[in-house]
Amino acid sequence: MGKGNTKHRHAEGALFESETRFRSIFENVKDVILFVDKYGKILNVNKKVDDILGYKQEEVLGKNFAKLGIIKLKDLPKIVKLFRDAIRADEKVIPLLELALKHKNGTWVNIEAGTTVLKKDGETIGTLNILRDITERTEEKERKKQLIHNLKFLSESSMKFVEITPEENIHQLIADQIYRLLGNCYVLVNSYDISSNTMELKAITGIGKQLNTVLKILGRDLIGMSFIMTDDFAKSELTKGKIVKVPGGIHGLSFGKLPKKACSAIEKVLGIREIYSMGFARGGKLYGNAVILLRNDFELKDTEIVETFMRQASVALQRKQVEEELKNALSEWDVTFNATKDSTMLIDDKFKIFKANFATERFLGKHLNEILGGTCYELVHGTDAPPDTCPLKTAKHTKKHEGIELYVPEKNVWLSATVDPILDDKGNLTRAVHIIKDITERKQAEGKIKEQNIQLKKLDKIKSDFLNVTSHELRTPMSAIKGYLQMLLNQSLGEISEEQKKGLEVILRNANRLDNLVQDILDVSRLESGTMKFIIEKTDIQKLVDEVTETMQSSADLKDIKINMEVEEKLPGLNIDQDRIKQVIINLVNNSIKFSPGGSIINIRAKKEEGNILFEVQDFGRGIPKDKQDRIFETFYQVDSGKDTKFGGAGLGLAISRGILLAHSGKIWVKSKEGKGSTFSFTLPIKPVKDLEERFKDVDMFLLEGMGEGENG
Amino acid sequence: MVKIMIVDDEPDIREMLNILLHKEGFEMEMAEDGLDFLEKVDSFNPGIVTLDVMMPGLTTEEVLNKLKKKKSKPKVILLTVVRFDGDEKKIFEQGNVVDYIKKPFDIDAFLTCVEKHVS
Repeated sequence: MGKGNTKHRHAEGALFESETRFRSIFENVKDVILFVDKYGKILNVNKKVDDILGYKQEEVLGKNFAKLGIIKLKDLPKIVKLFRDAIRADEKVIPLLELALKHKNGTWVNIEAGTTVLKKDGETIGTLNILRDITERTEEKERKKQLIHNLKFLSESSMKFVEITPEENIHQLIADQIYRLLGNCYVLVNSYDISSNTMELKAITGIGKQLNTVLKILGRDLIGMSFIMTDDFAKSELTKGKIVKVPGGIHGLSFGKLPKKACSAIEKVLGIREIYSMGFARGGKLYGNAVILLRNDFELKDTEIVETFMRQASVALQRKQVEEELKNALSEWDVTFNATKDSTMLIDDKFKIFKANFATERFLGKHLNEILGGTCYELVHGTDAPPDTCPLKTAKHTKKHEGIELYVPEKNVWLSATVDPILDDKGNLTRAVHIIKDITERKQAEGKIKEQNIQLKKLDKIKSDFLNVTSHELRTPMSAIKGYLQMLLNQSLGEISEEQKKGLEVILRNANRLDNLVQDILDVSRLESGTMKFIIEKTDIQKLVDEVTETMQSSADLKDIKINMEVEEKLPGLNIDQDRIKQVIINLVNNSIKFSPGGSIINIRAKKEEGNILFEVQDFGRGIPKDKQDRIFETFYQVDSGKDTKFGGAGLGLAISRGILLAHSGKIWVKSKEGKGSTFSFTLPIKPVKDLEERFKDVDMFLLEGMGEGENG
Repeated sequence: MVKIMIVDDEPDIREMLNILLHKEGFEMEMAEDGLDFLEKVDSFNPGIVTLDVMMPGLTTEEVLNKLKKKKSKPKVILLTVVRFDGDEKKIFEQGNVVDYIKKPFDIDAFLTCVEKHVS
């Protein structure tokens, strides 16, 4: 080999080296490198064509690139023009081109194509093309696009929720928005009512001409259908803020309410494959749900954006509900406010009326337009400043409920005006509720009662006067009769015969009886009318009993009856009307003497028992039959009347005694056995009784309320 | 002997008491009401007067008050059908009232009472 040979070999080696390096690059780059002649025939291509487009090198070599069928038909003219323009303008580099090429498996691959025109001796011989797979880059772009779309969607939705008017159907808006987002589906939106635990269908979107068929199958309108949420699990799923699949198709969706057959028919008509649902919930409170019914050829993607939208919708629904509740509350308050018959005004601290109910118009005789904004003193009193009696003026200082009652002579009505202050944090009056009420009727009733009271007092006085006069008039003649009889009997007016004496004695005895009867009747009348006068004095019991015994001694002596006294030592003094209590004991002893056989004993006892002094008058006479014991305290009741009338008494003594004791807060009762004797007992409280006369008004002298409670001990 | 004056608007009672006390030996005078009594009291100058508390004209209180201005200072025994409560008692306890007797009274009790105050 010569030097030239070596040189050649050297050159050859360099060429080979360059060739190898080129080959290595050619085959190892990640892009498809494609040589095409000026007619489009593929002169060379690297192996990447397999990776990116799915064709083997040998499959495409020598074939026309344009006719491989990998370029979209609509892209072809664009590409041809590009090439032509570049060649005509004699430009070496054609601007980068993005296009989709069809992979052998039929999918589309996004390609970025860079082309260099190859020239030899100034003539175009072909092109060198580098095809880069930019699918990933495209997807990224798509994602960005989607993101922007989603952001736009959400911001638009939120604007719609803000701008929605109360009249617009928020449920339909939600359904439409979901449909816009997903397409290819049906959307139902339900609202949830917690009190009835039901879901009610409020809006549908996406069902077109098949709707009629569906309606026919169901036999009713879809909107307004409601289902009781029998499934607690499903309910709890709804509040989780996630889209969940609803099992059991439409039948499951209706919580089993719709018949299975109808459900599958609807599914068939609408071509439903799967059903998804998500609740509108805030803070665990459910407002409803959206149901997405997917068609056969569609898959649920982008659940996140749906869920985000659903949360947005939940906020809107919550707000709407709060607004509605507020509106209802306000209107209820308004109704109440205006239904009130009393004038009700809200007044600020400058006495200005800023709210008033309808009744105010009637009270002030002005239209609300004239009332609102005016001051109450101008409108009500016609003055420049609030009068001193103004309860609002007072309430500003006292910060409490204030009120006055006033008479309006022009209208002959009585009004009550009250103010209830509303205080701020610092306790200052900022506003007040002012209520004016017509109290004429009440006042008239009060006046009537007052008048009646005066009348009653007058009657009381008349009764009391009548009794006093009667008493005087009945007893004055008795004084004259008895006085002269006594004078005649003790012969101060001259001597009388035995027969005359006997006659005078009979007259005197009957005069006494008559006098006693008059006394008793007057007592009963006084007790009954509550006009008996009581004179309360501190009374020593031993002395009281002593005096009674002394008084009764002569009567007892007549029948040779012995009176025993057993008064406990150191008994406390009693605050009583001693004459009246003496009258009670005398009456009891008198009765005992009457009904005791000659020569027997009568015991008078007094002892302390709990808070009372217990008095007993015991005799060993004929006793009282059991069935009559209850009745002996009745007015005008006489045990076995007739036979004993010779003893005097109209049966008033015990009734009077009972009345006197009741007025003293005491009790009286009897224990008796026929033929063995009787024990009358009564108590008087040691604690002083405050107002005997008042108590007395309650004494039922004629026992109209029936006898027996308490008195029989 | 002590002079006694009976003041009562009831002529029968007045007469009866007059006779009764006269028989007992007292020198007697009668008046038919408070005014009559006040007119006669100084000239008769009784030691004891029995005064009915319920008479037309002056009230008992007025009679007692006017009596204070008279020269004559008799002991007064009130005759009454009503009972006196605390306040009334205070009024009647003042002045010359020495006792009271409840109507209708027993002749013996009346005499006993009068004789008690004669001494």
